[in-house]
Amino acid sequence: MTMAPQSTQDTSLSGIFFGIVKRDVRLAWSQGGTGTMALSFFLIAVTLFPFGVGPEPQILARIAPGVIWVVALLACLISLDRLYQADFEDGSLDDLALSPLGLTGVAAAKILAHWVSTVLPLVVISPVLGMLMNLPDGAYGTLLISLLVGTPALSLIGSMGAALTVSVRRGGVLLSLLVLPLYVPTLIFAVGAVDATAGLVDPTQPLALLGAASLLALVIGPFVSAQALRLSLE
Amino acid sequence: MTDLFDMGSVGPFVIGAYGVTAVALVALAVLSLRANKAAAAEVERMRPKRRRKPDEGDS
Amino acid sequence: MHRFANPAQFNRLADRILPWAKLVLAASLVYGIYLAFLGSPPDQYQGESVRIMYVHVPAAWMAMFCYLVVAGASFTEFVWRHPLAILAGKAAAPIGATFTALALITGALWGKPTWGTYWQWDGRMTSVLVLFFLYLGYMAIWRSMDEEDKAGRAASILALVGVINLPIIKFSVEWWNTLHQPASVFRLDGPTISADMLWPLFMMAIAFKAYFVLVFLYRMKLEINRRKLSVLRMSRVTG
Repeated sequence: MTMAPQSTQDTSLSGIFFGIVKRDVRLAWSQGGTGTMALSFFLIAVTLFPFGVGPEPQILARIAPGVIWVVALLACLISLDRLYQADFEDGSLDDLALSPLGLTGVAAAKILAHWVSTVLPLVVISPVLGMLMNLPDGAYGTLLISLLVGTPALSLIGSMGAALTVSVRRGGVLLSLLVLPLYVPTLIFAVGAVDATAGLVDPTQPLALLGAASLLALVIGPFVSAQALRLSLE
Repeated sequence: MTDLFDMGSVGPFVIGAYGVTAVALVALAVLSLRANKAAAAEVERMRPKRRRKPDEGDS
Repeated sequence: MHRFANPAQFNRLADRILPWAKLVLAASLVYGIYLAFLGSPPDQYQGESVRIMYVHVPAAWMAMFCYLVVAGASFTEFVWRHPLAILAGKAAAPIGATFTALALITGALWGKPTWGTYWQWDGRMTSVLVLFFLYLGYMAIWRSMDEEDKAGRAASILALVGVINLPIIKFSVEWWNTLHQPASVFRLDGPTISADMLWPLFMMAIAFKAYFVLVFLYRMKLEINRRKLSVLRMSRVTG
């Protein structure tokens, strides 16, 4: 990361956009940020499953893709409720709303920052968890691809929920109630792809569907988030 | 024509399905009605005394 | 007083519709129950348990219909900020949630004698379950905010996002289901529904629609009264 001094701030649109991204990524990895929290949760929660279902390698191998995906989804979810809340509470969201990017652009920047800072580390560490869960050798590639293609949808859909609950005190539970049903298709396609590879079937179709889900989320996510944020700023 | 009381082993399931439906729908209807009555009475009570006209007069 | 003008008109319209809704409900319910229990034969394969269908399938239809009402109201609210539309969604949601829960429960009670299990992760049941969660979310967001207007707009946004997602959820669940389910799934939509079965189905569907109209109108009146109350309380506080 280049440590650009604050005084030479870039005032072009992309400059503002990436300024927000950089700031949020830095915040996520600073003391008490969501980055380390989500990553630790991911590691610990996955290791609970062998204790729950027993250490038989075949059973673990069978459930590995689903477990890794579900826990990644939950890790993403618990990091979401602060996505806009901190900025909303200290008033910086009001300033951001006035920036030439518009709220949609601001939301997009914050979603990108969330994905880079919180979700991407989960993707990077997932092969280690695959080893712990005895994931079949051939499935690692598809697991990584499915996470890379599918997790943006998690950040984008979650952003809509986070924006809707931004002014709600202790909105975390409400957020999960709103967002989890919308995560169902992403989860199904992603695990379908990894399962297909593990069963030596071509995973192209589920991966394509997963990509489509992410693209649709990309189309509506920032826009809906901005609409929801505007409500609370009024 | 079949006998209502001779449905064999599935009887409890059929009666249960209709029973649950009846209970839930009646409960929702009664709750809605009573809540509406209570709210309407409260509106009447709160309404300023000086113009105690029915709603028709407003529009 | 223009704030009340619209609701007053609505109340008059509702009072004109209500007696008819009661009449249709009573007639179709009595005839529908008669057909469902006495006027229709037991199914060739399922026997008497097919009678559950006459309450299960209409409930499932109503579950979807109510979501359409919520979504339509949300769209109207979102685009035109119509003051009654926001209340229509709020009024319809609990009815929809009830019908969705009933579809799930009666489905389970139908599944036990026919499939041998209360629950099967079958495409329809699973997507109805997700629909139930969407209703829960919609109602929860209404309760989460003190300011009714904001809560209503937030709930509208959620309902519209839900509408975009419903077909995707439906499709993904069906897709997932064919992936995991053995081929011999019992399916209702065979071509062999006889007229004997269509009539009770049709009658019960009408009864449920009439029930919806009835309870929906009362709930609309309820929400309008609540709105009036909060206005009256406001004016009392501010003098």
